[in-house]
Amino acid sequence: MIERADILLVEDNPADIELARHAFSRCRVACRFDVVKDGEEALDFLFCRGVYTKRARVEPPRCVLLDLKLPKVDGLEVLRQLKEAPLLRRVPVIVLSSSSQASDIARSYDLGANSYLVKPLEFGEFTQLASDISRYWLELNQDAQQGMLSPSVA
Amino acid sequence: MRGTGADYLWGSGLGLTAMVGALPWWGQLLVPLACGGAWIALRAWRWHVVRSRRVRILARERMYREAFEFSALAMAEENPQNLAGIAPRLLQALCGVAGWEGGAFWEVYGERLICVAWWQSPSCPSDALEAFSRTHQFTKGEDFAGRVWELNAPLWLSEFVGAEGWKFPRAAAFAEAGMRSAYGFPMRSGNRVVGVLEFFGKALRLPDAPMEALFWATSRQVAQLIERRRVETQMRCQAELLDLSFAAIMVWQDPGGISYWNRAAEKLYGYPREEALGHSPEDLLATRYPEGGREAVQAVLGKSGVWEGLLEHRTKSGMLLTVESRMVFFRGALETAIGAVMESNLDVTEQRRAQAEVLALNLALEQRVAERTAELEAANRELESFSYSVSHDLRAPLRAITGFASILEEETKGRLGPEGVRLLGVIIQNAHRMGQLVNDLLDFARLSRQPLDRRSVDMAHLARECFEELAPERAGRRVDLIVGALPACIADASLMRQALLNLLSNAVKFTRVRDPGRVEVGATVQQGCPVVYWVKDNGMGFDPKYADKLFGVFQRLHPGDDYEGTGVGLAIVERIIHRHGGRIWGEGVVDSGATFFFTLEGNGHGHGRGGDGQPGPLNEGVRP
Repeated sequence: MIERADILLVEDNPADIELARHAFSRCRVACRFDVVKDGEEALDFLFCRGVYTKRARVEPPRCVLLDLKLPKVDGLEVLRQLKEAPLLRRVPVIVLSSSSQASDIARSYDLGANSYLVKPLEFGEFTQLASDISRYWLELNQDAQQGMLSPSVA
Repeated sequence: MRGTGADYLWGSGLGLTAMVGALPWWGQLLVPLACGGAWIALRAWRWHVVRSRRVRILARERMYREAFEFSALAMAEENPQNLAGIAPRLLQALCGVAGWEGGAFWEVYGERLICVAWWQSPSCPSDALEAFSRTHQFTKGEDFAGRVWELNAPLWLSEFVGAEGWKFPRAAAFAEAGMRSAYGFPMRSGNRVVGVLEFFGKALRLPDAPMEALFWATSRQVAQLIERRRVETQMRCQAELLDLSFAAIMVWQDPGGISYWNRAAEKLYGYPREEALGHSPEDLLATRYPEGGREAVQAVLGKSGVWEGLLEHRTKSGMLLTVESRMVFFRGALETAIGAVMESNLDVTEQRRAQAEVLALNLALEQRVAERTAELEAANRELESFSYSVSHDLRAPLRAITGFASILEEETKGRLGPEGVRLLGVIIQNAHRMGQLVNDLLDFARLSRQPLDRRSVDMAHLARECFEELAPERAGRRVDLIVGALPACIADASLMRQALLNLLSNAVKFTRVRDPGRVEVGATVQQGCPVVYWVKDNGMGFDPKYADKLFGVFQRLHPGDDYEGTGVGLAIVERIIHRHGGRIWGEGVVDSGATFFFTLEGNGHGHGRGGDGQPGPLNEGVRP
């Protein structure tokens, strides 16, 4: 049985993935985590292609945590395709990048990112950020897919 | 011969009548017979008189005709350029008809009347009058001739010498020559007077109607001659002008070839006129037309009447020329050139060659600039991607180090001894420091790309603001800020804030050893020099021999244990100041504080780029 993900983490750095797991595991709000390691896999996951075909029966994740610098297809391209897809564009995308460059921030928001966060260096801050994300996007915000059927059924 | 025959006959007639009464009867008887004879004789006499009158009139008519024909022929046949040569003969002929002693031929040249020919009867020399006439020019209305010009009508004067109101320059000369009457006649072309015919004589002679008619006819013809000569002269002048032209000018027809070839054309192409005439310019000069060829040129010429462009011609010696050509289609000014083309060509071979060279040079230069720009752009992109990688790739491992150290610290709590905890702390601290270095380096790199947004900046206000911002750094101790009179400047406000913040942060940092710490911000304004701002502290100063290392990236003059920092702060300040066109330098003495000076303009105005040449008064204010 495939479960719906609360958060899809798109991240290529294994250390960062592990840190994220640690950070989110300490959060008060429990969340189900799915991880993809490059842009292509992220698109396959979201569009239920390739190895993720079976996900078609499941709703898309509550939100996507997207790194910008990714192998194969970069984060901005993932963002663009996501926001252009009628059935996926409501999924909140939180860019989580180590870049604080104005151009990256501007392009992300231009492509429809819902949030832009810079990865903090200190683990304590990272834990705090994870807790804020889960609290805000999973607890305070309404589910964008509420009342919608999964794409394949629709 | 005039009248002599008639007087004789008249005298013979009187003798016959007186004799009748004195005759004897036989003689009387003879009277009727004699009378008959006398009658016959009278008839014969009258016949003779009438005949001689007719002869006289006929002779005069013949003379008129001869004079007229002579003048007409003379004018028709003679070269108009030789008008002055035939004028005396004309004057002589007219004088002969009218019985004048002499005459003068005046021509109008612009505003002047000039005597160009003179004739006088050999029996009546008037050399002084001639000399006077030939050496004087008269304006309209001046002298007798000028008067005729002004009147534009024949003028007859008699007994003019001494007459009141007729005092003109030549009057005395006329009197001396014994002349008693004069007759002037205008020569008209259209209604314009082109000259004056003037006659004078010792008798009072008023020209009769036939004579006047003769004068009119003659003057008209002479006037035409003068006009013809004027036009010819003008045309010759124009032809000469064309010869003087720098442009090679030719006139040609197709078919028909070249009909005019000026001197510049001879010189440019090497063909003398006689060799060029009759040839088509295309064949003679091996013309090479621009794109579109001959047809395109002809099309433009036929449509607008003018073609302008570049042609290539080959000279007689085989040299290839580029000429700037202008062809004008014209119809019928000269009979030989009906529908002809006037082509004027300027040799631009050298010019074109120079232009082509300049163009080639420019192209090469442009290409080099483009290459260099591309190289620079590539370098910039490389640098940018480098900074990007630095920010991304260096931070990720740092995050991993701090993250896993923290996790380790948490998960092994209690099990790890105090030394283990300390070591973990060192790892985390150093990772932090490296993160800071990366951030500063990126800030520094970003500085050179950011465009300046110059506006008026209140420096005193900015200094206080920055000092406020540094509150955390001076927590727990007293640091006094003294802000002097700071003139506003035109600068990028956010960069200026960054510069002041770094300078003040340094000052606050290095006054840690003082209580109270003192930071002064001031400016020196000198007429004709850029404003020098300065930030001075009473901190621990620095060794002046390292003053040149102050602004290097990652350069630190103090151990990191004592004073935190990455060594990028002053490098950033320097770059900001340089970007504003200013300069910055520092002065310090170990343990006696430091002063940083900067200007925002006049880079190279009176100061060198290095650290030398600081304004004198400031040095004194700083040194202890």
